[in-house]
Amino acid sequence: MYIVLSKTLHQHNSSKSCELVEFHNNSQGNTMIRSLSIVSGLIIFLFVTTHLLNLSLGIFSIELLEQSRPYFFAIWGILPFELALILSFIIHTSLGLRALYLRNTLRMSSQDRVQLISSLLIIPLLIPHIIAIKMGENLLGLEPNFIDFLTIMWIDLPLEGLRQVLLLMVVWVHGCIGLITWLRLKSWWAGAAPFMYPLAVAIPTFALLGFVEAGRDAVDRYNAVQAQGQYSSYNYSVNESATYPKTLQADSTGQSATAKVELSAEQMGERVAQIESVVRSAFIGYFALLLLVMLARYIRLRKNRDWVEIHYADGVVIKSKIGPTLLELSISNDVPHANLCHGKGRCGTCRVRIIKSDSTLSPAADLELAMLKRLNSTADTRLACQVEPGAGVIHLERLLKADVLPQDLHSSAQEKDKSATQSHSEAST
Amino acid sequence: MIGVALKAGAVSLLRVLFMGILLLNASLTMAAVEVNQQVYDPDANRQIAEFKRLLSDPNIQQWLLQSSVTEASENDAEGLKDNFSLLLTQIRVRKEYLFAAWEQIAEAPELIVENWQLQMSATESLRAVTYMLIFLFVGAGLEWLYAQYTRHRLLGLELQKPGTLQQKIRSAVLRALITLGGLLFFACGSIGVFLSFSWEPLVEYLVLEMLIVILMVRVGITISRFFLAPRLKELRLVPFSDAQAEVVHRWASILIFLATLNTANTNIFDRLLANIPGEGLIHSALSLSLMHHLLLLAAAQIAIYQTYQVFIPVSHSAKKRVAGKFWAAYLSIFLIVIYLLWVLDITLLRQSLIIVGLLIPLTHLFRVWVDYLFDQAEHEFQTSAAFIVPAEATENAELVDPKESLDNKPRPYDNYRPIARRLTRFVLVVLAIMSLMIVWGFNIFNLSSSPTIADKLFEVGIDVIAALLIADLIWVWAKTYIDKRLADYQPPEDGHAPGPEARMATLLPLLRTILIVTLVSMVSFSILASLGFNIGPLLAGAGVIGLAIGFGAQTLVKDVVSGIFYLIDDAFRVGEYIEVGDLRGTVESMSVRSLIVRHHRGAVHTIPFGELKAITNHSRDWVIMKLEFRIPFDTNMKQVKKLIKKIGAELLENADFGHSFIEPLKSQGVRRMEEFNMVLGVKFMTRPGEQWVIRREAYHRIRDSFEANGIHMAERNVKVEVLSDMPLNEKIKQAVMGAAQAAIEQPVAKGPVPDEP
Repeated sequence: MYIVLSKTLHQHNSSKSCELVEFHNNSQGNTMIRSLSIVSGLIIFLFVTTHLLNLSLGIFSIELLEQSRPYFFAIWGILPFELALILSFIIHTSLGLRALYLRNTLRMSSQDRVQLISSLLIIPLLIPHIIAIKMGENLLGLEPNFIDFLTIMWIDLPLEGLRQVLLLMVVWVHGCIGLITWLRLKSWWAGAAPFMYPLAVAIPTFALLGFVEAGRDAVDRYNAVQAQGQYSSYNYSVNESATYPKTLQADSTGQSATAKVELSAEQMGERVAQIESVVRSAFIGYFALLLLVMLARYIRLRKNRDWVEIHYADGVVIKSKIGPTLLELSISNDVPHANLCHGKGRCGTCRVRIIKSDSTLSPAADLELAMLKRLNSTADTRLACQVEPGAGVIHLERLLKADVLPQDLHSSAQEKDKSATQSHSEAST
Repeated sequence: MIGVALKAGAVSLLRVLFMGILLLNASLTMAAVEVNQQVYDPDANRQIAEFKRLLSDPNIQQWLLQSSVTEASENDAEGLKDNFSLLLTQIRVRKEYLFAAWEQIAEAPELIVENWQLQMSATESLRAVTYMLIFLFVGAGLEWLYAQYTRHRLLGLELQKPGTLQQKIRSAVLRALITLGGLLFFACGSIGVFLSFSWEPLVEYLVLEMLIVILMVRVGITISRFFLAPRLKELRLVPFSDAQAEVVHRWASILIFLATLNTANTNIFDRLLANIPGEGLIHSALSLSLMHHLLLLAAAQIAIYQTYQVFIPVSHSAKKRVAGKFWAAYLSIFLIVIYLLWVLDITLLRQSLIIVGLLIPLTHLFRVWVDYLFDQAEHEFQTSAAFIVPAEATENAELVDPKESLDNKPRPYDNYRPIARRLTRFVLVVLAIMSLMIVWGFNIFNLSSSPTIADKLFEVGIDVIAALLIADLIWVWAKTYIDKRLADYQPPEDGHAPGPEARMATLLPLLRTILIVTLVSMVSFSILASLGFNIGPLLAGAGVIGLAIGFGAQTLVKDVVSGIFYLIDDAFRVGEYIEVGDLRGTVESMSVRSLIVRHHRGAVHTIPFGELKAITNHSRDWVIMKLEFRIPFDTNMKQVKKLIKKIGAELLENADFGHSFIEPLKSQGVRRMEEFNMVLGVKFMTRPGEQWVIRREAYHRIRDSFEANGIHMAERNVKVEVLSDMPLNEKIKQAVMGAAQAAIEQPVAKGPVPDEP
């Protein structure tokens, strides 16, 4: 998918597209990791979207929801796709942890903060869902279906329903932020965005409404069943009641209300306990991993105790602890600084001209060099998102206005570069 | 500048708490109402039905009517004592409640949770939370969507640095509007989804309260941001530094949040209590609200302290520091007193105290703020005017003392400053009176029918205050305007024509006196009327006297009134040369009744304004002077034209009157042909009064120049042709001259040149 996109852009005026750099530098480590992160994220996002679209049908009826499920999940049942999904999930998670480890400062723009927190929340919210589905399928012989789950979530375990709703919100927010941050640099995005944004709100809204409608449907049916007195003693403990929906479903499809599941109650309890322990250990494992990453990050950043002072060309002066990049320093000190790709080194909008500096600037990596070369920049220009300054005083100038739009970048990228280089030469003479 | 900042700073403590206190007030009221009405009677419904039945009985109605009349007369004597004992009883009851609440304070939350669970199962609660999450998410989604379309505009607003105060306010307002638009989307989304779910009554109430809290807090924060702009110095409307704005904004947000949450909590308890009867719960609710309000009080105190800390270290003058200390102490004590009054449940006193106690600092605060805004606007005007002024300043350099010009910075808004101050004070006082009336239970629109003395006094008081405030407002505006105009007026120096302000100097003091007399009489009439005096005879008397005086002094009035209109028309000013009928001369002075004109030969005419009809003013704007020269027919006109052009250029260069020319001297060519000569026309345009000197000089130079270039002025001559070759003897010559005499003695056709001063 990614390559296709790059190819279409190739047919464009190729010198302008940011992706081209990635395409050329695909072999290099950093760029590849970023592409990997995007591709895996896209696969997961696609899965989530199909899932939510399916859920939206719950607005009409719970039966429609269930009947349409196989069609929506059709491709994810095919082995290569399933494999890709699982792989993407693992890759995206570990890349996220890696990014957390490499993060220099936890002070960031609100969007980045939302992105980080949502990413950290996804796993603990997701663990019970995945494990319940997969292990329920394998151990208890329950085929996952919406009717069961909605019943569990609305009647037996309302906390699960709440968790599920939270999960949906967090996943969608995380996905949308990632997707939009990536897409906004495309030349076609400016035209498409006004039509895409409503979609980003509509899909989860309808999914949630579907969830609520179907759930209320399930509750009504349950109440109707109870009123008939067929379940006089409804006092299952929370987990044992996982068997109950089966019977309800049987009931609702017109079969005998007293149909029994294949497993005995004892076995059932055993396996449920097994599932619970797996969930618990998954939680513990995740938090241990997170703790480990944070610890490693702390050790990495421990040495940053010195101060750097940055003088901007328009007179603003900030002073901060070293460690973060120039861009992060700007943002954490409320200095407006253009950063369309949020410090990923893809857009070049954060580039600055170093007027003079007595601190040690981290040397430019291949990624930055390629970007600077593409922008025809002079030798004293750097990408603020890539430079980690050492202790000292830096005088610099932000070359783009903070309110630059992606479409500005595409339409007049070259002119701007020209004017920028002109101003350089004027300044140097 | 720093002084202003500090003054505002010290006072700004108040503004922070303004919102908080208002909300506190609201919540306290609700809490009080809650406790007062908690005497739950299971038979209430039955009794109400009974009561309604009794009310509809005509006998009862008549009895009620009679007893109300008698009661009204007894009320005044017994009222104070009764009220006092009632208050004491209230306090006693409240004390018991407080003791009970204090004993229950540990188990209160438990009790409330227990009762909550009675009302709603855990499943339902969790479902409610789920619903709430969903509708908040949808609301937030819509707001995000809105933000996608407006964000760039918002960022642009935040990045551009507004130059003038007007731009600044515009940007701030736009920014607040965009934020509020987002809030509207949020509200639409969340309320839409909220409506689409069906709720249990209690859950609905709870969710609605939460929604209101969220919206209120966000609106409050937007308003606070509108004024303080903690991260954007350029859009800040108050004279705070970044750190100050940050602290004030933070505490304002916290207090708004706590206060709204408190209100919501109280309401929810109220609702919960309404569903469950029982003494125990009342006390636990009371103990919880005690704690909540104590928490709010503590937060407010910390806020005051922190704000004080931020503002005081930067103030240099000891006076400001003392003022800051005073206001901080005032506010903190004020809040404690309010809290104590709430604890004792003395509602009326507390609410009145809140209104009066807030009015004083708020008036002061708004005054400082208005001053600050005016200072800003003036500063901008002066800095922008600095580019324009020097051009004029060089021209008038000799006239204006450099020292004076420094002091006399243009202050274009000075007229409005006192009015703005008065207006804010006026609005605040009116608001305070309105809220006091509401608190005391007076119906503003129904006062005239209320019979008691207290009501009457109150009504009179309101009338008097309103009349005085309005008269004050008008008077301050007029006085500032008139005084400013008079102060700006500079009497013309000798030999210079006076400006248009001259007439104002005559007119304005008169107007001022008329205005104050009118205002005072109107206010006193309206006060007398509201006191119940019949002012009809007074007005009639005044009318009769006015009529008599009017007849007697008919011409005098005519003079004065037409004088005012001549002044408004700007028909003449002191120092101008005018012509009225047969009289002409320079205007020497004007009185209220008449005009004094001095003829240029010294005679002084006094003309009543009433006698003036058409006036010719010779001193306005420009004068054209035409000169005529008689030259022989054989004159070279091209040469003449050249010569006159040259003279015109020379006259323009003249140091004494060159600047008076509006159009230079130029030849108009031959104007007409006469018997013996051509008439050469020459004209020029000058400022009024300068034409005589220039004419003299022009005549002089043209004559000299013509002489030098061999052009002689035409002289009247009569040629007598004698058709004979013989030499004429003396006698014949005599005879010829005699014959030509008739032609010589023809009268000169043209009249004399008009008189000149």
